[in-house]
Amino acid sequence: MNGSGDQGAARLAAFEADLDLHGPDFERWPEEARRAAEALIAKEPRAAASLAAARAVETGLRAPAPGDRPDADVIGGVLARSAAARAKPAAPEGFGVSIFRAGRAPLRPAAGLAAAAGLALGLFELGRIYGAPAPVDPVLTAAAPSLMEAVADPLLDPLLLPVLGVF
Amino acid sequence: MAKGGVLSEQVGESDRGRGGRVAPDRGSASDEALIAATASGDEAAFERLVTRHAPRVRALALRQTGRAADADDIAQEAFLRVWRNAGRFSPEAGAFRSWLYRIVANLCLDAGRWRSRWRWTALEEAPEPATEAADPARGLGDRQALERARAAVRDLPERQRMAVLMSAVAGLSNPEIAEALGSTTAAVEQLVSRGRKRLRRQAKDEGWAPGGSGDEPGVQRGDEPGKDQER
Repeated sequence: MNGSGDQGAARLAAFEADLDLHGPDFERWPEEARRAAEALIAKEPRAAASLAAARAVETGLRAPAPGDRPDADVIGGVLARSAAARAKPAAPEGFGVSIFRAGRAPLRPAAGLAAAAGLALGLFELGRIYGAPAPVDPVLTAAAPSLMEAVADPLLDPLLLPVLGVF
Repeated sequence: MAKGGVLSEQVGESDRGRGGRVAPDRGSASDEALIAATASGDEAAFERLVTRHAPRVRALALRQTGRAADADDIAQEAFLRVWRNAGRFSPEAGAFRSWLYRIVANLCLDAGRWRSRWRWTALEEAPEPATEAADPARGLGDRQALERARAAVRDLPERQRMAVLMSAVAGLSNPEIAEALGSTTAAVEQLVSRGRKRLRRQAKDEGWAPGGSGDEPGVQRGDEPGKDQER
């Protein structure tokens, strides 16, 4: 070990702090810190080892990864999607469901209207089932006893069934 | 798709309109000049921005999400938003790259939230498997080291991973990352430093970096993995 004691450890710690802050590409370092780092690396093997580890990490981050595509394919895909979207009228900004914002399945206005109509219909049906009873027609009230007799008749005329349906 | 002849005039006019210098040709036009031209409907300027930035945007999205389909969606949606919102870009508010990567970061984080809500994963959406075809020129040891590096990156907290990738893959400076993440430069410096430190230590400890194995005498180690969990 060339650097010794607390001073050497402090220099190494300062170098590693800069390494983590600026990365292993020295051209991204401030000039003064870069010169100090190069001097330290020349005489301190642990500093050189830290730099090698940082470079291995950076290489791993930048290296081709499974799922990478050639640049031309990426550019072509982006331009094709943009051209297709421009060919259609744009949906109003903010319209849609945020969970689809990754772009996989944006909600279109027509689908939004259909969903709203479905919701309104569902609410109407719920109201009809659980809501206030319908107003009673006085004519039907007067006819109720004879209709009840008809219900009890096992030979009920099928033509009466739609009338009974109102009850 | 390009409109051809009107393009250079549009860049010039837009640039003058915003008080900037007129770019001599499209290839060297600044991002800010190109987005100004895009705002006025210049498709060639938009294409130039896509050509310049889309590959890195997708590379970052792939490494952030781990899924090629998500990376495609994010890159395409990001530039669609750039096209639609070009008129809202203000150079006074920051650089174009920061604005672009803010869109990308939001899309990546949204995709991450979506995944965390829905734990199941369809087969076709499974994370990309490591294949030898991805790195045909590399030896087995190198490939294993790369796979360990990727796994270590995936284990970083989401925002920390985003900050490190913006620095390493997209080449953004810490102030640019701060603008993109809607944070302060000091906070981003902490995110990037902690992320890189954790990865560097892991590289040494696990032996996938040259010259590394275990503790070193005289070096303070105050950062257990649990302390790095910044969300």
